[in-house]
Amino acid sequence: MGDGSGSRWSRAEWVQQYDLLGKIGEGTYGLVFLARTKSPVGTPSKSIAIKKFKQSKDGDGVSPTAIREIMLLREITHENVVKLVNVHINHADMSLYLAFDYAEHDLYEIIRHHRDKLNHSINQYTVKSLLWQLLNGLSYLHSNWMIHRDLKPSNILVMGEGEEHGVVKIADFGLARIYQAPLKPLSDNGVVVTIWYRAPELLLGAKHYTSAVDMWAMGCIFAELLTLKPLFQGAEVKATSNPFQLDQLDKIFKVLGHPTLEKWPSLASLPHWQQDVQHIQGHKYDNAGLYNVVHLSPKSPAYDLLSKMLEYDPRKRLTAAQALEHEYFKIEPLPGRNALVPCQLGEKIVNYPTRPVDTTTDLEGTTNLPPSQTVNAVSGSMPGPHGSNRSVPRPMNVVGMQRLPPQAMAAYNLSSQAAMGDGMNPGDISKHRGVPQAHQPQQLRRKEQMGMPGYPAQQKSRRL
Amino acid sequence: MIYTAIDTFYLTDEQLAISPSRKDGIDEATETSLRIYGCDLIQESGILLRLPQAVMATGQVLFHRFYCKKSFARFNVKKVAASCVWLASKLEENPRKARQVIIVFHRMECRREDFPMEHLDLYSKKYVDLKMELSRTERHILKEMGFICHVEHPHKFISNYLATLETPPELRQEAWNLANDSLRTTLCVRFKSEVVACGVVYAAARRFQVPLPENPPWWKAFDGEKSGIDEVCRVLAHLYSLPKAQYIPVCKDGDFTFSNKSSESKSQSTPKDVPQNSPPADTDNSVPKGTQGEANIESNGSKGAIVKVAIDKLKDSKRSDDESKGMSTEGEARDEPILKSKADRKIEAIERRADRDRDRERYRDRERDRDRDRDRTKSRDRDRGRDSDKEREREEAERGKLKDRDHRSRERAKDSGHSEKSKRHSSHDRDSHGSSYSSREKDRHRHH
Repeated sequence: MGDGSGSRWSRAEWVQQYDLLGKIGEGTYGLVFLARTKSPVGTPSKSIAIKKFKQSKDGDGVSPTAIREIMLLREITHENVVKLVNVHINHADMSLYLAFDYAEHDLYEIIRHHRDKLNHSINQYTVKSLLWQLLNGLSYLHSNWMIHRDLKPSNILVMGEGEEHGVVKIADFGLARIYQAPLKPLSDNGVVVTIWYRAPELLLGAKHYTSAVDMWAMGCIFAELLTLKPLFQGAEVKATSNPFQLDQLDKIFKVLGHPTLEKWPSLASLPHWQQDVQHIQGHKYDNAGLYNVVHLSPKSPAYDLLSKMLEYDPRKRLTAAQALEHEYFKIEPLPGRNALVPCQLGEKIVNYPTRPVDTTTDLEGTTNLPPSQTVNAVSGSMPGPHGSNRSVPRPMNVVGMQRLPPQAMAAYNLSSQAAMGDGMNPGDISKHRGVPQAHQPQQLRRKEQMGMPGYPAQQKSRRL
Repeated sequence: MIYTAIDTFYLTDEQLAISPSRKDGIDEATETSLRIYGCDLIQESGILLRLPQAVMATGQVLFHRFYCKKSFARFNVKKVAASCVWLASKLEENPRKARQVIIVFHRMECRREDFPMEHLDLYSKKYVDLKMELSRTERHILKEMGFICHVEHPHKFISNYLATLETPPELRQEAWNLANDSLRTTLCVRFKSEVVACGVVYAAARRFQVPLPENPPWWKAFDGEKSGIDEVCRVLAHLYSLPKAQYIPVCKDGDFTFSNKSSESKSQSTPKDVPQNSPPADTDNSVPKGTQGEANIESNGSKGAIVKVAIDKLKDSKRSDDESKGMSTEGEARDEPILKSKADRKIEAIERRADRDRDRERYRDRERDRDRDRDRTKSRDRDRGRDSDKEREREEAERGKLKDRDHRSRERAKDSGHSEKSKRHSSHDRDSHGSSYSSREKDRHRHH
């Protein structure tokens, strides 16, 4: 950046605490930038990912998705969940900037690297460590009544070199909800979960669903880590809001076989099981077998864990807490905190590529082309549903966006209000923190109230 | 830990006694009256916007929390009420447009404060300023809340408590009504939802002479305490003893209005006729509610007379023919109800026609936008907004006609709520289609 850029940025008050490096991605919400904190000499600076929520065209104030994401992330603190460092509001255009700890990698890129570059599977230690940390973070979310509802490889971040090298972070809480006694059914939010990772009860139009939908997605991710390709790669029909997706169900049934009422009793009450039973029963699936796809012995602990995560009946599906205690995590190699660097000396260390940074795009999203600098061409969009709603997708050049007049931006520093995290234990994986005994009855009561009816139809307010 | 932040948003009586408004010289009675007034605005606007009750409940709690941190002297109650209902509609996943909120608050203000009913020009500077104020206040609320806006309502516990206690069914509606009314008070920032729920259950049982078990005490099973229950009952009784809350301008930066001309007429009439102090206090608490209602009616009548006098003076001071005609028309309307009704109908018809013309222009703009952006979803969103506007105007007209029949009007509002529900469902369809469009575009890009 030239001097002009520097002087321009210095006008934004909160930006002065960062050295902006460039754009690293974009999504439906807006853009993502990479920055480093300015710190006193001797103190190491920290990499920050700044996620910008642009103002809607209609000028309807702060985005509900942003409010929700901030609300949820401010309530939780866990080593395996992405950390929200700061929230900044730009007064001029009402845009919102969320500052996160930067993570160099995500599972999507890691899998792609192994598939396209190395042409070799991910080693057992890394698969197990990634999965364990993922389940650890998810167990924390579920024990706090939170469903993520968009688990997929591109939303699973892995920290680069540094203090937290190889630590997994669950990211992108735009679809997450607290499901302890919600005032409205969760299905009112419409279609959730990217289709390849969508649970069968969602595909069959369940009105009520639970955190088990996250565990199905985890099973799909586990299989993808093993085979380097998505387990159920169905084509999504987006013309209607109908949750029924025949092709996705077809892909699932080919591997797992037909669900039966005998094994899944509540299947009969799912709307599309009745309506579309002809479509579903019309196909026969011979040679179905999960072990053929993932190439695991049916007697191995890994296969046992995977098959229980991909149980049709959500009530029988393994929970995250149960999965953490599974035999798979107790046999060698044991999972570690740094998932990318194996403890065994014999294993080779894989060097994953870093994210490309578009240094020509500023915080408004405008691309400047200095005469002496060449813009690197960027490959096209990602295939399949990964391409949409990624938290940190591939960078793209944005040309023609209008430049907004830079004005003072106030920094609402919330880090001091954030809950203090646990101290770091270098030798241990941080486990889910136990609930204090005094809170136990509170939580039990809340659990008992799940599914209680909403407001009665007759709502009258007494006149004053 | 989830709910930690919410659990810390409870204040003691001492903390409430030294609220930011108190430090700015606003006495307790005035702050209480303004809190009730703000909640009335949130409740009424929610009905007009056809929002589910949960949104108004959340909005009122956010309203009370905000004024535990900020003063009524620095943040106008009307601005904050509007932003709270707007923010709550987002949080409770029934979002409304800023335009809808502003139009509703503008009309409520004209009615409540006897300003001349004017049409709000959506392309005027006034409207743009109102929109900016709405967003600015929203940001202030979010900042003061630290972006933590989870709200737990006592309603959630009432049904379970009553079912456990095996009480008669009529208690349920009574407790529900009491819980709604409790939102006008600061009970939500003093006690946990469970305690408020126990309080309204207790008050309902007392009202219907239903005995509740006392050995062991029933409230212990529901995480309640007798002192809290007694305080809930005392606060509700005090609420019902108060006269209807009126707007009291207390802002240091001068008064705020959604209307344009109101500032002129108000500034002229204020020093002469309207007292700046607290509203007329009805000290006779033993008077039954009916009489109080009559008292309110008389008060409204006298206020109308005051405004009429002000209008006459304005007419004398300004000699413009158009102005004079307008004023005389309104003067006549006040004298003769039938004529007033006709005049109102004409005005509304004119407004409706003007709206239709503007809608047509907007539609043309929208066509152009569609061609340029090829964004079908937003066009459909705008179409839906327009339909909603028309229906709201129709409903406003009906409401005006049926002023004296509140019951029927309320029932119609409920029916509209049902149709709104189906509309919201179709909203989901369109959202899905939008994302589908986006995805399709990306697929095209990929193939290329």
